[in-house]
Amino acid sequence: MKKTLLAINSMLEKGIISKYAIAGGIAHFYYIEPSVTFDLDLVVSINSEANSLAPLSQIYDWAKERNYPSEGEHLIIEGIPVQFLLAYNPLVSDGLDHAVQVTVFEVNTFIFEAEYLMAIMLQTGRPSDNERLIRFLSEAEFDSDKLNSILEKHNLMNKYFNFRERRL
Amino acid sequence: MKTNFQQQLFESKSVYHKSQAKKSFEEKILDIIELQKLSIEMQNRNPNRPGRNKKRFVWEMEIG
Repeated sequence: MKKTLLAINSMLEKGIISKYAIAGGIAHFYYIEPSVTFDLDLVVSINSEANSLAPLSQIYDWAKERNYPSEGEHLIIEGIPVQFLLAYNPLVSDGLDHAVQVTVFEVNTFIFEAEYLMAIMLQTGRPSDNERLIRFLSEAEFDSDKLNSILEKHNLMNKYFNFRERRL
Repeated sequence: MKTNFQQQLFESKSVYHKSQAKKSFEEKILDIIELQKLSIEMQNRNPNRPGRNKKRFVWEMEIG
C-alpha cells in the first residue's frame, strides 16, 4: 500500500494528474469497519486536455513506462489493482475539491470526506451503497450539518429523508 | 418488538462494529487482506458463488 501510494503521488509530482482522492470501498473503510474489497478507486483530475477522447491515456502511458500491467479497468500498481476515475458529476467533483490530506503507511495522501462519501452513496443508491450508508450512519464520525449542506447543494435532501424513512 | 435477548445482542454487536470502525487504517488494510484470502478460498470451493468469473487476487503488499 505504501509503495502504491508513493507511485500515485509521483504522478502528482510529475503533473500527470493535478489532483486525486481515494474513493470507493477503501475510502469507506477509512471511516467504518472494513469488509472485503479487491481494488483501490481513485478519483482524479487531469492536467492535460491534449487527448480529450482518451483522458486517462497519460496515466496508462506512465504505467507502461513503469511496467505496471493493466487488467480490465485496473492498473496493477505495486501489487494493488487501482481504478482511475474522472469526477463524473458535480457532487463527485465537489468531493474531490474538498478531499482531505491524511497520512497512512507514513505517506501523505488524499481521501474523500465522510460526508461526501455518504452523499455519493445516497446519490448512487445501489443496494451495496444503501447498506454502507446505514453503516456510516451508525459507525462513522461525521458532521451532520456538513452532510445536510452537501445534500442541499446537490438536491439530495428529499432522497435522504426517504432513505431514512424507509431504511432506519 | 425486540426481546431483551435481541436488544442485548443488538447492543453488543453495535459496540463491536463501532470499535472495529475505530481501528487504524493500517490495521483495517491488514484485515481486508485477510478477508480477501477468505473470499478467494470460498470462491474456489464453491463454483456457484457470485463473482467467481471476476479476476480477483489478494493484494501483494509489503507489511510494515
